[in-house]
Amino acid sequence: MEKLLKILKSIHPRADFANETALVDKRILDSLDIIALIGELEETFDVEIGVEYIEPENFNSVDAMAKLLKQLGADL
Amino acid sequence: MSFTQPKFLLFLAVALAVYFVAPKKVRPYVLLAASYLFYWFSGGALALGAISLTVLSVYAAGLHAGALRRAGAKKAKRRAPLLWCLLLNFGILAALKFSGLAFPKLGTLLIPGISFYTFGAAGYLIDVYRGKVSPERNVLKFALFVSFFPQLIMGPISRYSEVAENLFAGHGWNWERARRGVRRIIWGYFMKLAIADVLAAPVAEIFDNYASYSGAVILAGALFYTFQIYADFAGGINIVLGIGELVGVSLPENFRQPFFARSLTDFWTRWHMSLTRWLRDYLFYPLALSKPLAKLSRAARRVFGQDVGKKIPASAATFAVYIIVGVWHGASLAAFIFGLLNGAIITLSLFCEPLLDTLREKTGIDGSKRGFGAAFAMLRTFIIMLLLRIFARAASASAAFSMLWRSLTDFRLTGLRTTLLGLGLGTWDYLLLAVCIALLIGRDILAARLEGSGESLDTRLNRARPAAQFILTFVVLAFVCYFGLYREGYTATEFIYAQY
Repeated sequence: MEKLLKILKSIHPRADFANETALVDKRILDSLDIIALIGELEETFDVEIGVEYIEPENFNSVDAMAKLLKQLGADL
Repeated sequence: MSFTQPKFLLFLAVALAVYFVAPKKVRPYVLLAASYLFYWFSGGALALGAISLTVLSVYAAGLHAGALRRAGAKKAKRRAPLLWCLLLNFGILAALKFSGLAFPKLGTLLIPGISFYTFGAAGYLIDVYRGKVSPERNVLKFALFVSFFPQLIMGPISRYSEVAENLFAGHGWNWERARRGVRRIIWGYFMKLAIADVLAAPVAEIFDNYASYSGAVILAGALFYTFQIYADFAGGINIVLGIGELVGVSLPENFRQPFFARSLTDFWTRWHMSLTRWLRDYLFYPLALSKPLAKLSRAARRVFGQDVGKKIPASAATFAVYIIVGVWHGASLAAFIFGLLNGAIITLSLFCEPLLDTLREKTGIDGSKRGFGAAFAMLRTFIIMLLLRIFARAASASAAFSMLWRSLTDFRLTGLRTTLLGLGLGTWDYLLLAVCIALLIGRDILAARLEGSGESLDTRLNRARPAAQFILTFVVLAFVCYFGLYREGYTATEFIYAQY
């Protein structure tokens, strides 16, 4: 979780990632952010996040992202 | 057949009457018949043939893709039929757009709205391939999805998953929905008739004869065009969504107060939203995450360093997206440059992010904060889009460059007023126009304020004082009647986006 939050903060220093549950819906994370994020996540956690996983549900909150990462076999 | 023709209103009235009288199960087929009839009136046998080809090929490919997926076929085997079908349909679209180079404007007008329904059908097919949607087994229902008449000519581009249920439900008459729908339709006609069509003549005059006008007039023309294209396209979309509402189909929004955009990226999440959404999901993400671009990124990181290298996939994908956005408007050099410039500016700001962050800190002007920073960002974006839009409207790329050059070098304010009054609009016309544009901007301001509050504009308007509601309704209706029926020497023009 720590690593995940750190990555998110590096993309958007001022967003409230700990509490926000509509990161994509509220457009806090835009498509360029998602690409940057996926790149970092894939490198840090050694997973492959395919296009089919880019759904708002998977990226709207830190918990959702953690869930996705675990689902893909990451060691959180 | 255009929404502003009286015969369309007759068609709509009859179609709706038949729809509501018909039994629930029959209603989707009434919509299908109405859609095909509407398309027959719009483009004849050629158009019907073209859309039927798309319907049948994508329907078949969808079933095939679903079967392959269920059988657990390998990705390579599943990909081939998908690609062939997309190639066929986009090939026809591309051929038509490029034929427009030889026969300007003729190309896609032959099959109005072909861009819209092709993208819509393709999106469905890709969703089936990805396993997000199970293939539609009823070919007639699928045909309805592709050809649903309100969205046929100018979008929005709907996702199958978001409209299928309502489209096939055969919703009956509902007073609340009908009220919302009619309100939206009237507002759409207001935008189209009172603003877009009024600006059409002066814009055409300036863009066609830019050489005889000063830079100030050219910029005025670009400003007029900005309002014309917004009122035309968004007005038409309001009519589309309103009609959808009448039959219980919630079509996706296409506009979100575009003049409140704080950056070009932000702008394109507010303008022609269904197209940029489509490109994001079916072009941008797959491309940016593709293996070839990942390889390129690794190589770039070695040569240019981490920060630059890791941005390569996103920027390449960004260029691809905006070039398509540009060429959507016609396979001309000017349209291509329009897209290219959008892509270039967005990519540039992507690479210059560290520099821009420092600038924001040093000057205190931050577009993401409220107040002056936001206003500055909105004005800047408005001006950039205004200038870029010249490429979307100018007769040619060289004309666009000339117009831009003239705006900078030949900016004469003297005689501006006289010139503007000599374009076909008198003082009284400009006054009315100003009132109408003020109403439009006021509506957008209200909608922008309500965003995030959870309350819809419709609900907010219903909360207003009855006197205010009455005056607003009366004024808007009055304008629609005046411009639609009584204004002398006035012909409503074809919707701009019907040619795509």
